[in-house]
Amino acid sequence: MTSRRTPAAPEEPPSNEPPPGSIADVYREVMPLVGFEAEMTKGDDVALTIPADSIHEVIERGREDERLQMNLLRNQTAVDWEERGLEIVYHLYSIPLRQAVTIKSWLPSEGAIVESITDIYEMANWAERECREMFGIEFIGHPDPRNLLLDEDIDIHPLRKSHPLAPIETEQGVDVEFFTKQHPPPEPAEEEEAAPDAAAAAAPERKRVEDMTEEEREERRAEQAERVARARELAAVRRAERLAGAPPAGGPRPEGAAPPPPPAAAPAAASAAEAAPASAPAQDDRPPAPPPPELPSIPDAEEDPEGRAAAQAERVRLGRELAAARRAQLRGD
Amino acid sequence: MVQQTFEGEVLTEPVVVEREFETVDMNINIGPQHPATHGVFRMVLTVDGEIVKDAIPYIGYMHRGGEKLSENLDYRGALGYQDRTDYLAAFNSEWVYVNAVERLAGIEIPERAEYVRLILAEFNRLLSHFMFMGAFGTDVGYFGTAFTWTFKERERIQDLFEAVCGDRIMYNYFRVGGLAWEPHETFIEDSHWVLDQVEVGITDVDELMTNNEVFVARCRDVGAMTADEAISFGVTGPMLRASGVPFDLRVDEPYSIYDRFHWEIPVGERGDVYDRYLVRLEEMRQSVTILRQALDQMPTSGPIEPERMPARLRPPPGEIYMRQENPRGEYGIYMVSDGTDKPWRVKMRSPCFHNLSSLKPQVINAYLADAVVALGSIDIVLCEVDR
Repeated sequence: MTSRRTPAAPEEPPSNEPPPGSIADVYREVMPLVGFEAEMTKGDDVALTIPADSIHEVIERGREDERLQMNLLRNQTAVDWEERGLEIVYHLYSIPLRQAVTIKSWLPSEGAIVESITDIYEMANWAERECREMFGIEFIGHPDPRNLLLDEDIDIHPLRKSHPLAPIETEQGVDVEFFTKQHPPPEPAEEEEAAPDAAAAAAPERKRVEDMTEEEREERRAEQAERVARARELAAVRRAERLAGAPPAGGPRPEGAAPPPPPAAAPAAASAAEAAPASAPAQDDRPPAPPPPELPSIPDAEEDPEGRAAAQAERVRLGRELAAARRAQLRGD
Repeated sequence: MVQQTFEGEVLTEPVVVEREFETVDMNINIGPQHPATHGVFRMVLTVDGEIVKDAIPYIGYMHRGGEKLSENLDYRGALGYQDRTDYLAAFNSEWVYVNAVERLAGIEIPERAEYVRLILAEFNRLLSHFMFMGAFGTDVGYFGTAFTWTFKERERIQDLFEAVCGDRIMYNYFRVGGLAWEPHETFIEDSHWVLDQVEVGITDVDELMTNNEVFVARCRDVGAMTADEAISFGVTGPMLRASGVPFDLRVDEPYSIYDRFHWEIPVGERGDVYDRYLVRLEEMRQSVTILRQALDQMPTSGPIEPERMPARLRPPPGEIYMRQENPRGEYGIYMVSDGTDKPWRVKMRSPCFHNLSSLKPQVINAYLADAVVALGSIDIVLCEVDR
């Protein structure tokens, strides 16, 4: 056991003043116009409480002064003291001089505004972002005041004492009662009546496959095959409609119903044996593809150099035309 | 088609056309579920060709509100949460927390418990650095080899931890005032045996990676940071020491019983990824040195907790910022007491949080592949970043 682990709190005078010659005196000498209230923390650090409007000045001069050289901002946070306001805390350290200090300041609980120190320490960028989202302190001059740990859209300050711990789910939009109480199953929606097949297929009292008898399994397989066939037919019809450029029949597809109900055009398509013929007539409605142009032959370079160049230019032009025509066809113009 | 227009055209001489390609800036999203991000971390890189022009990191996917939870538990109850922040160095995090509570409450702990704590924390530093070597080797290109070699030693350390406290990752073994129970009888002999294996393992890693040409080529001069830059970003730990600043809390602000041992602080020169690797490698050797001395000095018998402990801790009003050197840097607990049995405020100063904030200047104007290496060299634990 070293002696520095021995708690000094009971023997200390109740005033809790730092001993003479401590870093508090250096701060007072460097900045005589700032009112410093000094005290010792339990970790044997000197804590200086200053007015909020002199935070930037004190920290900046503390970094530049030769006797302080506080070049490391090691920690920055705030404490919510409810009716007494917010206390913002900076923990500074001087690596060359091996001395630590804590700078504290009081802010009002509502509308707390502090000058940002991101121009002094890069480290303050993330620290102030965290402080802002957790406590609602605004930092003037911060280059990037977005939320850091919380969601970017969320505007709550969780580390305030007024923020509750338990019902956070309510603020997140989670229905707490739904997870804490027993609920009757939701009543079937009206749309399902329009699609009786879908409702029957998604009936809740279906047996598990393991518990089924052989006939039931056979039935289930037939049912599934039927559903697959119906879905394929429907897909063929939709594809034909899409290729023809017509608006899809039956309006927007219902969301949620497992097999969509076949529209009126389905029986006509279903009568056809294959899906491909169903889409074939639709394709014929489109303008026919332009026939490939006849390409001029390229003469030999030694025989006819000018003709060769002209023929090449002609082929390039034809090729571009052809490509443009194919593009237009694919686009459906 | 267009291509057929060029048929028959034979170029007799190759014609070299020099022209400058104008590339368009492109945004690349990496993560949050990406193996190179070592957890749930996302960054959006703006790349011009292969050069990174801008990087926007997004964190917070693992934010569980640990500070708020700790403020709503009593002083002893929130200890288990420290295992869940830095899960690769859980003993170190626990140690900071119990030290903060002890100094706030004025509790003196027995010497033997202090030794056991220090030994376990230094073993945990070794474990964490072995993990870094494996994961970083995978980032650089040693698929599997680095992981299997380093995990062999990591496994031995974990076996030791399991014998001491019954758990391999979430230990929850330190208590306010001491330890949960006595370490097992052969703790010192086992520790020496593990150290023998670990020393061989460190040499293995050294021979595998340090002078490998590919490894050096991927790491040298990548992600270099000057000392001023690193200090301004609040970077601590091996990353800061790689930039040439001999800042180690075990020496600069000595806590616990670190002033009883002799060892050296390894310091890098260039501040690049390769120096970070070298600093960590040397730190492992220094940890072994500390552990040998501590195991020799450790009293073999004695109490591991104070004779009298209050049933319910109510520290007098006051505040403390307890900071210690974790494998990743300065881990701090800022704790404010209001005299009740729950802390009024608990703030965890996470080293990875501030080390990660320095990623942007490291990857700007570097190659995209180097950005992954620079990220890997930070040795982030996202649970600790988001808390």
